[in-house]
Amino acid sequence: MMNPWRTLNVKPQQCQRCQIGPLRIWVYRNTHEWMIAYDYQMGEKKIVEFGVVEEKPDSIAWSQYIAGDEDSVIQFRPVMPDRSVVVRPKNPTKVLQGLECVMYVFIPVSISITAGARAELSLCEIPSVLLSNTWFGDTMSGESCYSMRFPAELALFSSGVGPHRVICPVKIKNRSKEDLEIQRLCVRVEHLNIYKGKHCEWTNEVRVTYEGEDQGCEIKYTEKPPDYEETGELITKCQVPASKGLFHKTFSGLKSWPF
Amino acid sequence: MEWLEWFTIDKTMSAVRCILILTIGLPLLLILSRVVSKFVEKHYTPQSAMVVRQVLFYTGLLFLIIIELSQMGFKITALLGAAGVAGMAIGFAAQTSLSNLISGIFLIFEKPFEVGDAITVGDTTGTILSIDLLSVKLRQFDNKFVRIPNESLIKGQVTNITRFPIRRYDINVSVAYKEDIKRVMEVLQDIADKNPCCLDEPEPLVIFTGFGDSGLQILFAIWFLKTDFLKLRNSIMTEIKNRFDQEGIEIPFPHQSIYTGSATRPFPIQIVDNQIIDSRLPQPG
Repeated sequence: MMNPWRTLNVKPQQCQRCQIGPLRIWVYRNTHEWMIAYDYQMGEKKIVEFGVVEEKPDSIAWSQYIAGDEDSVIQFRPVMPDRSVVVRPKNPTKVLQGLECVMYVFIPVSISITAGARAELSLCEIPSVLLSNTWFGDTMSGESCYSMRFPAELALFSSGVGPHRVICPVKIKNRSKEDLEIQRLCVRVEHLNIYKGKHCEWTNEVRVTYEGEDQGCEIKYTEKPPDYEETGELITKCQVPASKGLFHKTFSGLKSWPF
Repeated sequence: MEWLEWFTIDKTMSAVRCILILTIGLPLLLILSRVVSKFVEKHYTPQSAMVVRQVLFYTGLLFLIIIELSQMGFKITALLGAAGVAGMAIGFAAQTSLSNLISGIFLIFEKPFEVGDAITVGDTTGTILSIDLLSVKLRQFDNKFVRIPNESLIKGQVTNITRFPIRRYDINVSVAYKEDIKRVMEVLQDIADKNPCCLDEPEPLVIFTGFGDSGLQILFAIWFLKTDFLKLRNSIMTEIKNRFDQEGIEIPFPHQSIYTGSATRPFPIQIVDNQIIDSRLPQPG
């Protein structure tokens, strides 16, 4: 599959189109400005396409960015969504006491578009998939998150994931004296780096140690690329470095919502 | 030069002391009330800080005035006695204001709402602009300014709409008796799933609530972030109507069946060429 994270050279009055998964982006270089438009295709697409289009489509909404005339270079880079994501395992999962497992969360990235050879002008960030809103916590306190319909898996697909998703491995260790039932998992994406892998992009590993209902769980965001696949360069650094020994509510779903 | 005789050493000293007390005392009082109010604001709310600042300032000012008067040679005990009588008279005359004042202090420390919250009091709904000692000022959504006396807020019911970060929007949907309830409920669930303002969790509720006069009653309750209220309200109603039209689900309007008696057939009426012809009457031709 073609690498979607690249630099484009767009001539004046030229329109180029790229598709990364279900997201299609049009970029047009006008005098003094960049113009960007996008739309979404239905379904889970595994397409990466770049090309020049003859005419700028008028049926979609365009945004204009005044950026001078000097550069004709634009860059695409994956960034994490601006809120935490909540994901459900494909099947209700129980981690028995004393055991551990790895869950793979396939997070759809946002595409950061910057202008200039050194990416000095940040134009916009476009989510590759429109995620729905959800709430993690009770009805009086909690946090607003994105909800992922794409489930977390206990194994990697042989066919791989779409180019717009990064794989976040979450290692869950149950050190309590009770079974841990996982119905939902909240991943704080602000602490995740994105690394280039051999077949797809990866984030740093999240290690969750569950100590019990009262003690909560300890979460550690590792600072190196995961070793599930041959991973290379760091593409995007995390927005907020995780503090050590972070205690957070990560699991949810054992209680029902009040009517 | 008779007026110069008034300036005896004692009187000059008292005048100097008065000026000193004012020039040092007043700025000190202002600084003290500000510092304490900043401290209170940091640990409590801006409203509590405002109350503390005002109470401190006016109490201090009263003390300053008493000291000044005593320096000028007034007899304070007689003055305080007169002030007590005057205070009682003023208290009787300003009962409502005092009641509002005390209610205001309760409101500030009880904190049922804060500046910026949207509240409903009786028929009035608006965003709180300020919580003062005598009244709460609201800006209604149509940009009207409303002043509500604190006493009525303490006595009556106040609903804080934006206290919690998420809210539930309840819609009573009615469908015709001929419709398949299960299918209607599935369609409503799908509408909630596809609307980005509807929260996935807490899950939307679709409950068959009863048999209405004109149709089957269903409660469709969806959760949303409080900031998305208008977006949700505008989109969800349109989506329900459009989707029901697409799926051929009938939304009934109130109607009544009229019979001529308990066991009779409905009135036999035909409409032909805009003329109403009663089939029981002899037909022309």
